[in-house]
Amino acid sequence: MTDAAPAAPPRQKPRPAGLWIGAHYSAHVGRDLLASAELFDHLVITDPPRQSDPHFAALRERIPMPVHDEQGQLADPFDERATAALRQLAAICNAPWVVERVQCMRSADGKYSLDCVFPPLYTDEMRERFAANGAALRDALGRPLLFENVPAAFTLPKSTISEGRFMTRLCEATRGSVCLNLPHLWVSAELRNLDPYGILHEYPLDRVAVIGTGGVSHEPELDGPWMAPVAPSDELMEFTQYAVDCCRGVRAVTFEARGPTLEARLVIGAVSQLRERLAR
Amino acid sequence: MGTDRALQDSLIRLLADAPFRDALMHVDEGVAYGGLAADQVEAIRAGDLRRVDRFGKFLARQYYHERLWHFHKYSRALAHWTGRSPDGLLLTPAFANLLPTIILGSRTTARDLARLVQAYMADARHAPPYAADLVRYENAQLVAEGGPRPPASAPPRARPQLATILNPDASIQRFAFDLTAVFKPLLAFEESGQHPDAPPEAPAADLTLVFVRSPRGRVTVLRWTDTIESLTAYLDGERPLSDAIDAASLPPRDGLEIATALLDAGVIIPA
Repeated sequence: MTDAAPAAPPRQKPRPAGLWIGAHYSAHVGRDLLASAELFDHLVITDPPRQSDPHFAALRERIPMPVHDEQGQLADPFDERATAALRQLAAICNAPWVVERVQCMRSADGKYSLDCVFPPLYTDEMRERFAANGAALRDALGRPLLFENVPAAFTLPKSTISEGRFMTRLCEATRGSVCLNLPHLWVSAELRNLDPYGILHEYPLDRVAVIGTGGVSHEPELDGPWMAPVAPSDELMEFTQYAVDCCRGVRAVTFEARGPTLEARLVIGAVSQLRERLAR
Repeated sequence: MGTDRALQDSLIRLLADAPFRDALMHVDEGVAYGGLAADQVEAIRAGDLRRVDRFGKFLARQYYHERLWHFHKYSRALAHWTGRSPDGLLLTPAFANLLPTIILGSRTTARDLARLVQAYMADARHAPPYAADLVRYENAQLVAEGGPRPPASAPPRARPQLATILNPDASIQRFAFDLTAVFKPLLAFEESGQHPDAPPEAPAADLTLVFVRSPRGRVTVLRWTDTIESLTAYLDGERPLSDAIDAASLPPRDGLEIATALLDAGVIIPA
């Protein structure tokens, strides 16, 4: 599906003015994030904050909080209940943007669910579904809606276009923007023996508003990498800098790691590393 | 539903349902199977089936790791003293043997996994007397979460004329210890990383709980009281709630409030 085009050499240039560097918010490390609040230009919210969370309100006062909906599935229309919940969360966070993954992990009848990122068939029929449902959700939310790529562990049968072309056409149809998740792209490439730099250039890079980066670890079951709450490797850090240089409209870079085992020092260390790297 | 969306559902099933995956791999050439047309079967089989199977197994391990992490958090906290955490089961041959039968999210798989957890935790060293009850409590939540997932909906409000039944998926279990006494201390020790020499104690008690999934899709646990038992004994799906409330000798307003709470939790459902 992807021509492994040689990557253009990265252009070394100063970090774009006003580029936000941030991370995901996890309540169990809230105290440490608050203590290092000056490091974070934004903190991504994925779950509604608990009333018992003592740090959320103070962080919200100081740091913009975009919302990333990891459970949404734009292959099907959002029902009123899900739309209202997402709208409420975005309002609570005063979210500058909302991200929906371009994924389809639940069967339409609700009988089967993978509870894990899984891409749609990359076809025009599916693109039309995502475009119609995405536009409806964006209008209902009244905020910018970004589309995030997800990893593919194998090439889906009957897909007629690449994931990058799918995202391009989706953005054209909705005048939308992209949240480019680099670990997702990296995993897709590695598991299918493709060149991540080649895949990157299939994306509508002029439409990328947010870049997500993070770490991967080797999964024996897959005999390859999968996303993990670890710091980006040198290779992924290099890839991140390259992607930032290629995406002229990028507004924010997010360290993509969260979960109950996440340690604050990892988040703070990775965000500090990103700041240093992207300031070069 | 469009043809691509239908094929997408088959791909999701292919990953979620290991027996379906195995059957599809062995179906004769040119034959339709499991709602898939023959050309769709061939399209799937023309791909890298080995990768599909590996990814399916990876998803199964990840799916049940998340559930054991969430539902079995108290036994995991107890592992400081017992040396055995429930999620360790996922690395055993017993779980590997279960993989070919797993259907993600099904109640059958949840029950099979619960049995494995029970056996895996049974011989943990230095386990306090309530450890087996604790695993049974956590397993009951795991099983309650399984099963088909209709879209989440608001529960109906109790009305005197509403006919209801006890939810057939509700599980009523008796325990010999007041487990609720150890929940907070176990998590507090785990979070602080500071553990006393011995785990917290649970007083002996006759505790009966009901486990079920609510209409909103959440696992709920309620104390099974004499009042609830007497009310639900009269629910047969035909007589209205007001009759059952009368038969249970409850004041009408109290009876409706209890019925509303039970409908909200999913313990009783409209007939």
